[in-house]
Amino acid sequence: MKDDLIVDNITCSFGGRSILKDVSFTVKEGTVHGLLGPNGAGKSTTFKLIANVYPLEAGNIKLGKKNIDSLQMGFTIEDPILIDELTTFEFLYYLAELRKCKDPQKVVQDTIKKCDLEKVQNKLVNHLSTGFKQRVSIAQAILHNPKIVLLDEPTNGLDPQAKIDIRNLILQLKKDHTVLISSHLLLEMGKICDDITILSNGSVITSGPISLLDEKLHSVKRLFLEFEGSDEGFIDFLQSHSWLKELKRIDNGKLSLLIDSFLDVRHDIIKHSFQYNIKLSEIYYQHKSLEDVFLEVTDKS
Amino acid sequence: MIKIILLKDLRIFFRNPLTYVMLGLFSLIMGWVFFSQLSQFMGGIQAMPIQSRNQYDFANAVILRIFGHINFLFLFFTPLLSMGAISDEVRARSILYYFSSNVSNWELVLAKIIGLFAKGLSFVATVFIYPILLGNIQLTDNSFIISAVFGLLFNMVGFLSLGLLASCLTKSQIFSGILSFFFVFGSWMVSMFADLSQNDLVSRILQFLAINTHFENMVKGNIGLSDIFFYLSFIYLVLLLVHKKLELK
Repeated sequence: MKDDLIVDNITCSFGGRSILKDVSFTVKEGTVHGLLGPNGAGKSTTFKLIANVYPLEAGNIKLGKKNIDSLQMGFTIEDPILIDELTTFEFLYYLAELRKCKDPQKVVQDTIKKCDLEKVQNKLVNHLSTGFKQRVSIAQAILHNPKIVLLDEPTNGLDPQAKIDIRNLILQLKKDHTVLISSHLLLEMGKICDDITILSNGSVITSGPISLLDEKLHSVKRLFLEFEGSDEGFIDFLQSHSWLKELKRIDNGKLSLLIDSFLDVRHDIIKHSFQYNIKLSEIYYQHKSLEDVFLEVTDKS
Repeated sequence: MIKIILLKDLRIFFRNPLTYVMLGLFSLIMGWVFFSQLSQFMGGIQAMPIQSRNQYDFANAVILRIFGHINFLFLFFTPLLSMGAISDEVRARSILYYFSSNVSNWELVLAKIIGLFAKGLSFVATVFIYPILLGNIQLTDNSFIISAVFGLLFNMVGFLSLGLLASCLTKSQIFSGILSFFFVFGSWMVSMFADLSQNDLVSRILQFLAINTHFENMVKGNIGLSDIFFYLSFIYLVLLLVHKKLELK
């Protein structure tokens, strides 16, 4: 696409300590792209480099083929950056003027409407709840209609309802902006992102469509078996399959299998259990959670 | 850009209750100083024979002393005014909005110093009520008052620019205030070192570099190009340091 955000081999270090090592990924135009990683993985540093808060040591960050102008971006980095002594309207109006918006009054009113801030527009920012502060922070990021919106941990510290509201707001942003969002809240990311990049220890572990995680989520799973009868031949049968990654005997007559296959192997197991005189009383999958997959991916790194 | 930042700063300043506490305190101190100077003058004049009373110089006895006291109060009030100018924005990270909005460092520095000047002026303005109270007194020469006012304002901007420099050196408002006090106090001390110096050349150089030497010249009505040149160079140099520091950020 013409206006994809291309992050190409960026590197960053502080005091001789390497924070990011050759980080590359592409955020497709009009998508929500998630930057995932445990604390200290380098998510915020990546954001700061993209937002030009930190200077680039090496690599390139481009919008399509061109360098990015600061005003083509809107961002929230870590906690909301607000001016407590101004009202919501004054704060947004001030930024609209600073960013040279053509009709600041209209721009601010439209943004307030878009972010559902009408109720609090005349309240001092300092008196707003955490959820509203986060909304105001997102409002300032989209105020000047930037092509790229960077949202760093936008749902951090919010109650469940506020999280849902912010999630819906982010999904709305997709219509007009390309959104790069960072979080370590995987379930949130799973619900709003089209693509993801997973960072660990300052390096990209994987980058691509969210279905990448889905595949891992559904291809590797744990199967529990409970049965009566001698398991000698049965275990040999199980171990003869390539989809079996791990077999653990939990107790007498209880097995835990790690299966790597998109197919449901239970039919095959049930069919052959008769052959080995096994009376299966229970056979069920325990699907991996998004967290399990994430930890697995980041642990490997 | 300068106007936008300036208006925002002034809006925040006049919305802060602490501003009015400081304004009240400044007015209270200056009111007391004015009253005591006036009482002293009245006491002095009443003790004199009637025929020589018109020789008693009201301007020197009251007005110039008040300017001196205001200048002394600047030692404490200018750090209070300037301590949060940049440090607060760095701490709250709102300084990022300037960088991301393509605001140049010079625009930011000028907006901040003009803002501080306007805040300082709001303090000094409370003193302008005194000439109204003294409306009946006929001064033989008003020109020295104009020169003294200019001296006072130049001095205030000089101290505020030092405060602005202190404010961009640290994130902590309190530390910035303390640093600013020492900067301003240091600039006062230069004239004392000049007096103490045995070497004539060193003494003369220090006298020229002392901000208060130029203030005293202007208050006495001896306004000269060298004083104006000194003030403008001093303010420009300090603001240049602020600019350089912002560039590093």
